[in-house]
Amino acid sequence: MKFKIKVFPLLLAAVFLFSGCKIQSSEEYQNEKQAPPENPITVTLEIECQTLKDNLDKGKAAVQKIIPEDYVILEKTEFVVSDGSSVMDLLDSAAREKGLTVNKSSGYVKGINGLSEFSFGSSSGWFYYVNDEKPNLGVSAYSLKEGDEVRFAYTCVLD
Amino acid sequence: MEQLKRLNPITLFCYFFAVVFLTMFLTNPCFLAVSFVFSVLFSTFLKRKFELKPFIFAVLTIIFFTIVNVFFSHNGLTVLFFLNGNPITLESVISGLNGGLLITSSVYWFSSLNELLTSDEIISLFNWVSPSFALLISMTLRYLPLMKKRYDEISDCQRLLFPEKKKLRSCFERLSILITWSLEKGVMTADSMNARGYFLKNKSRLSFYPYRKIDFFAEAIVLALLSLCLIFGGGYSVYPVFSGLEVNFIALFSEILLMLLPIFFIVKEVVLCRKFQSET
Repeated sequence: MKFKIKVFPLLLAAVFLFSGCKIQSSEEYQNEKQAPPENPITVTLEIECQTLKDNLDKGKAAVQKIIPEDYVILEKTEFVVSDGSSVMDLLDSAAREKGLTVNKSSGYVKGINGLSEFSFGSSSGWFYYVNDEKPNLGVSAYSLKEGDEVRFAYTCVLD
Repeated sequence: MEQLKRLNPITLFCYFFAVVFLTMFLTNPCFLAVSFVFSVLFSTFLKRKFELKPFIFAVLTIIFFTIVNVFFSHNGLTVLFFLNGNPITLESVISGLNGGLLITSSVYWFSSLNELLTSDEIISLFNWVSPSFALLISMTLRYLPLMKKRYDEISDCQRLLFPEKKKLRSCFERLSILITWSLEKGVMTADSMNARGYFLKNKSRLSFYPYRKIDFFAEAIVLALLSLCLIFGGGYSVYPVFSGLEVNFIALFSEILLMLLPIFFIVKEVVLCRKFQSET
């Protein structure tokens, strides 16, 4: 009897918790209608891990299997985003469009398409470049301008 | 159970070390589930009854680990579905399941170890490291069960003496009694150890745990099965892509055999007992 009394509020709490959640399958998520960007600007995004050409043996076998043959996860592609949106927004919309999985936590990119930080040595992870320069800002703090060329590159040497 | 208890402490410790090491080393949920099932079975056999409450607690722990890991880790490539725009991946589910199974089965194994090894045996096991370290370990392992036993005793007594007391107040009182009693006992233990010359230099210890043939055989079997598991059981990965539920048959079989060993001892003893009873 005591057990039942304890279970009921728990169940109720769980129902409340999950009623605010939106569950979508991968296709639904990918095809979901997005609001058209305000003041659209065109930027390009490239995601690559060329540095692994020399450092492939640093990682575990399971991670080595998922590295693409040409070390390019996303070729240079044009995206239309609204003016002043951050690099994280760009990465999110690119991931949604191209079906990439991005593992992030509050303004920090942990991994892209299964290639995570610390996978190739303790000082490996993702960097981003805008017009071949490393901005001193987090991905969600940098706002994009027209014609920016964003490149995410994997590194094995944090400097 | 008597036969298990009569084994050399080194053998028993070897066995539990092997089992817990395997539980931590084999990162496939199949192996871990086997370990969990057999740890529960073994503790049931040892205590001669199935205890439902710890089991429910263990299952809840596993579920809790899985849910927490699913919500906080979005690592992995196999996306099951999107929850509020966050990917929920198969890998994070598996990883949480692994963590929960690992912890609960380790706890079960260690509780069985605690049941089998007496504090004397623990002291004799760790004597070669340092006698004070051995003493410390055996006292720590004994401490919590002892506290619980004392607390039960106190609360029985208090219930009979003052049945009308308020719950919270009596709880505090019991705690203060428990602490006083434990401190007093600690001082007494220290005095007694002093009197017996525990802190003398050049003090030697007698431990009488014979090393028999069966110990050697048991250790050989355990080591063989452990190395079989380690040779064939590697190469499973959870991140970034889960390597699937198919496991190496040899590794699984030797793991099951290893975990069946003590149960085999117990069953053999029970069967022998029945046989003698029916003969006389």
